[in-house]
Amino acid sequence: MRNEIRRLREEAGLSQAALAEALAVSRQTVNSLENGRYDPSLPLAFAVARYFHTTIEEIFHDDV
Amino acid sequence: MTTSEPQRTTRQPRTVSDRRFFLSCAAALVAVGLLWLTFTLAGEPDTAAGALVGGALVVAVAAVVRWRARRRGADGGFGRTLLGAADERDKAILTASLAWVGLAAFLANAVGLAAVALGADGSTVIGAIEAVLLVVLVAALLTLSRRL
Repeated sequence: MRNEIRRLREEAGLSQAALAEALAVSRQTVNSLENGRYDPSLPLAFAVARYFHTTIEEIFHDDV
Repeated sequence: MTTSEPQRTTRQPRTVSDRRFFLSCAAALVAVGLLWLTFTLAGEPDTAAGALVGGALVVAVAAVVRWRARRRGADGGFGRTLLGAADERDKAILTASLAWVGLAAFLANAVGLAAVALGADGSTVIGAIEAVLLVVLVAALLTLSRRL
């Protein structure tokens, strides 16, 4: 699943560590999310969307 | 879509308290002690000593890993898991790794049964199965933490 987390994070001027701390996950988890290796749970997806004041649909895109 | 002023969430990672960790270690040491006593009473002093040393070593390794993770900050999923600060990806990795261990256990037991039927020493086969499962767990943790 593709996502816009890296773009949103960079636009917000945040490091992976800072975003990870804000979302209460590890830096490795943020890195995996950005690289599309790990698909988040629904609660984490909502937390990411809430953090960037947007919706899940705006951040995560189905590959098909 | 707006990206200005990202808001911070209030969730904090949970950590296992020292009390819970020490209780777990104490319970493990009691279990090891009971194992030692059982083997000793059964007239197997060498096996008893092996169980005692092996069990105590595992508890000591767990304590050292936790201590190091606390001092240097848990940068690895295993350290975070041991500290009780695992996030959902760490838990997914652990769950998937344990699933691999479960699958390997079925296969290893089948091979072990066949080996015993063909005349292999039972205790050696059990020890080999334990070693295989440990290797599978470590390999799965390392592989999955790179892939996920």
